[in-house]
Amino acid sequence: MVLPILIVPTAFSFIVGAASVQKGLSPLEATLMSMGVFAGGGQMLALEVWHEPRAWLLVMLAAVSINVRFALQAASVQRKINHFGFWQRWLAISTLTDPAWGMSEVRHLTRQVTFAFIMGITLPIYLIWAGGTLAGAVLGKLLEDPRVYGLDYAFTVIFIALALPFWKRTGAVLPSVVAGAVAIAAKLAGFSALYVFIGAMAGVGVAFIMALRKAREDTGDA
Amino acid sequence: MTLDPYNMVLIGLVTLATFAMRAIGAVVMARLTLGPVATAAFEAMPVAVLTAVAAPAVFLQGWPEALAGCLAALVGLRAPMFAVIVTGLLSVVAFRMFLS
Repeated sequence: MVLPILIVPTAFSFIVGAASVQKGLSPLEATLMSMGVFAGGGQMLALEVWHEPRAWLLVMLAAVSINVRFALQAASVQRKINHFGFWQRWLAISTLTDPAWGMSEVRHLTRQVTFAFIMGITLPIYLIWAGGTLAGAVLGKLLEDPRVYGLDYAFTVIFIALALPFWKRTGAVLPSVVAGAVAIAAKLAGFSALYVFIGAMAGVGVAFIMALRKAREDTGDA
Repeated sequence: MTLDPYNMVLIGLVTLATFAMRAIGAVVMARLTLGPVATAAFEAMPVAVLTAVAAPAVFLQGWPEALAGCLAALVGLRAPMFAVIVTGLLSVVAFRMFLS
C-alpha cells in the first residue's frame, strides 16, 4: 500500500541532493538538511535563495510560505491523534508530510489513526529521503557541469511538478496566473529575490478577494 | 565531509521555520476554526509561491527553458509527477542543443 507513494520521494530526494551540492552544500550538509527539514518543496525554495543578500531572512520566508500548508494539515491530524502519548504525538507532528497527512485523513474515515499507521508511512519516507539526498549529493558532486544534464533546470521542473496538482483546481487558476505574472514583472523591475514573495502575495490577495466575494454571495448581501 | 558555518546556520533556520509551521498547526490552529475566507487565503499560499518561482524561471531565461517548462506542464496535466520531472529535464537539454 505504501510502495506507490514512495516513488515520488525517491526521485525527488535525488534531485534535492544534487541541487543542494549545486548550491555549495557538502553531501553531509545536504543530508542533515533533509533530515531536519524533511520537506522537499521548502528545501528547494530555500536553496533557490541560498546566496542572495539577506539569505537568512529569505530562506525562512521560503520555508514558511511553502510549508504553511503543514499548519493546516497538522491542525487536522492533531484532532485525529489526540489519543497518542505526548512524545508519539510530537514525533508524528514534527515529521508530518503530505502523504502522511493525506493517508491519515483517509484512514480516519473508517478506522482510528494509530501511531504504527503514521510511522508506517513516515519512517520509510524519512529513510528514503535521507538516503536519497546523500546519494543525489554524492552523484551531483561528480558532475562537472550540471547544465549539460539540465540539472540547473531541476529547480524549475520541481516547482512546476509541485504546483501542477493545484493548477488543476479551478479556484487556483486565477491566483496562480496573477502570482506568475506579477513575479515576472517584479523580477524584470529588478526586485532580486523578493520577486517571489511579491508575486506570491499578489496571488494570495486574489484568492482572498475571490473567497470574500464568494462568501458575500453565499450570505446573499453582495 | 565538511560543515560550513554559513550553510549550517541557514539549514538550522529552514529546519526551525518548517518545524514551526507543523507545531503551530498542532498547537494553535487545531483549536481555531478558520472561516472560509481565511482558509482560502492559506490554501492559496503554496501554489502562489510555487508559481511565482516557476513563472520567471520558465519565461525569462530563453526559448529552451520556456518550451521545456510548457511541455513539462502539459505532460503533467495527464501524467504523474515523475514524468513531469523527466520530461522537463530531458527536453531542456534537447531544446538547448537545437535552439542555441
